[in-house]
Amino acid sequence: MRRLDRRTFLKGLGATVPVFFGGQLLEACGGGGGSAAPSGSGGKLTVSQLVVAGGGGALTDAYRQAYYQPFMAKTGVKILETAVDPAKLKSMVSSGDVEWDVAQIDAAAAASAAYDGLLERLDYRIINKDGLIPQMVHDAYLINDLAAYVIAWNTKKYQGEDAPQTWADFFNVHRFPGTRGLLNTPGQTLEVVLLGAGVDPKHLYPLDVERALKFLDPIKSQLRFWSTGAQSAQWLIDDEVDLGTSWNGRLQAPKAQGSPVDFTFNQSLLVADAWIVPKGAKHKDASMQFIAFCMQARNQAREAELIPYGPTNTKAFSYLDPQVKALLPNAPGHHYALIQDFDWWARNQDRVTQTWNDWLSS
Amino acid sequence: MGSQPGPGHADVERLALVLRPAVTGRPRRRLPRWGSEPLLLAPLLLLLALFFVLPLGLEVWSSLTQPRPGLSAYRAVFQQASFLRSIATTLQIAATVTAAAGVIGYLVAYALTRLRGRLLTLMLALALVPFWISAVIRSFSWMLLLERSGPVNGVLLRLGLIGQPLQLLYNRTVVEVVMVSVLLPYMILPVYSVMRGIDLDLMKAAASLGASPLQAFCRVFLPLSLPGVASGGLLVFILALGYFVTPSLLGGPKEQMVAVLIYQQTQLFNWPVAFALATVLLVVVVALYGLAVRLLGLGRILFVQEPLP
Repeated sequence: MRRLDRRTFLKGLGATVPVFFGGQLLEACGGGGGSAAPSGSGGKLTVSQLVVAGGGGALTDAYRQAYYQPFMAKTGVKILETAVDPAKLKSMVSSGDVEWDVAQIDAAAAASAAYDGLLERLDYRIINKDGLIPQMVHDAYLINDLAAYVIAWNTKKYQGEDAPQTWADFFNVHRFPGTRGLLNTPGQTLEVVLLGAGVDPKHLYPLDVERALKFLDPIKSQLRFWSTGAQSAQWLIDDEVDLGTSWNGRLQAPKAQGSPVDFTFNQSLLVADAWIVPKGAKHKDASMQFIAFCMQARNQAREAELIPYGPTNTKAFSYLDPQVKALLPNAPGHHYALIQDFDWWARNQDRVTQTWNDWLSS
Repeated sequence: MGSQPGPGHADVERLALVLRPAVTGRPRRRLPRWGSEPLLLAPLLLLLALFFVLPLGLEVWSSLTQPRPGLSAYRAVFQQASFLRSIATTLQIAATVTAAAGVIGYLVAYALTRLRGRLLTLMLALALVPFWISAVIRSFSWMLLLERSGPVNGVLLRLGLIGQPLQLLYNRTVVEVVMVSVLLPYMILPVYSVMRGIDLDLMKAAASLGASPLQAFCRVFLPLSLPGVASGGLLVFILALGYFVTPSLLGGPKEQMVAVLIYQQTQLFNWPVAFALATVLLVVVVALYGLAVRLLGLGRILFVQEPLP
């Protein structure tokens, strides 16, 4: 499932190896006392702790510094971290035993959970919509940051002008012979395939799945499919594929450390992380106040400084240096193609995933 | 297996009868019939009922009642080509892996029975090392070893055997090779433990009755060691059917085994289909097991209790 996969992947593995590390609550370091809290960003907070589920890894490290610790410092409410997993969300909600207060989850999964009635409506009397990109605001989920699904290559192979700059280039096996790596889910992949086939980004949805698959048929043997972000980056760095896709956040660190990998924001597809509150969460008001805090421009700017994901509060840009802005997918001057239509995927993913699986395995 | 017809068949059976203590290692002790056993078994049965039978039952029940009572989830499974292909692929891979692990495991176990002392300890430890390292790590190591810029391609290129790096990853063969390497200990251990119990004097006895070494092996040693092969094979086959890590890391789109698709469906909030897929896999396992017991006499090999007629 889109970006979620790379984060929940290891938890999936956990089911088959005896090192399951989900489910355990890890206390974020440097927490305040457990005493009842003084005032938060809005009203009074009467809880002493909130359970926040997240994807783990570098993203949660950034969230801890940008959101969890400042929130604890400001309100005295302790943040308990746990691992996010869509299957667990569903089982918690259907059993009525909801452990999470808030969760950070892939926006397409959030839209799907909302569609299945697994989420509380967000309270926009507590969460301030001022400055938020309108497209990011939804009844039951709120998009917190944007990542770019990008065209990438190994710099030992292509440099400067030689490198592919559009999805049409990316799928052109005559100009760029060899294998290309793509995400193994229909979400994100079908979008960029259609862009490569020449569909106007403005009229991409509803996705013409048949057309996308027909476009891929002649080059199917040259496609490799990755399942985790780590894998996508490794393939490019190790020259396992001749061209590849990945998320900008995955490539930025190795690129900065001198690995032979580069990418372009040109024609990228923006995907996102969203805040959600599971249906039946125990401290709804406090959850809303936590989300409100995270959406504040200054806090979002801090996240962007730690990990190159773009803020959805436009005011955050005014706090950021030009060098930081240059790394963000939705910064002014970056010609991304479009933002993924998460609600379209929520309504169509079962059907499209079936078609996609049939095509892949045939 | 234990009852293939042919000349000398009865001799082997008779020999097996005589050998029974040699196989089990020591004479069987009879426990009193139904004394305190039910009571002693209660905790185990309760544990199994609570943590195994109940969840499994709920899983099957849910597959029949969600999203609505009926077979709609199963219809979804059987109407989709990729699910059917995946079930077939899973069975083929599991069978191939079991066969390969059987042959290799048998040879390794046989070699182990020939060793003594420190060398035996060392070789046994080496055979068991895979047990101590998680399948995730081993799958990743294979990935590094076999990638285009990896050492295997490097050596082949340097030797001039190939001009272009080979695409060694993301195909069925690599999935099967890695699964064999991961699952081998499950074959070696039962085979080795049964072989250890075989009295090697029997081979000498067979020789003294005029059997060639090959005949002695085929007629005496092999049949006596088959219980180990059967239990190892069953273990490997069932573990292979549910494999997730290796096919998802090292397989291409055509090696997506059932477990990978079940996981995918749970992540899409599509639980009924995941339940139905899991149930189909369960039914296949039980059916194959039943078939093996019936046709191959697996049960008799696995659980020999009474002397053969």
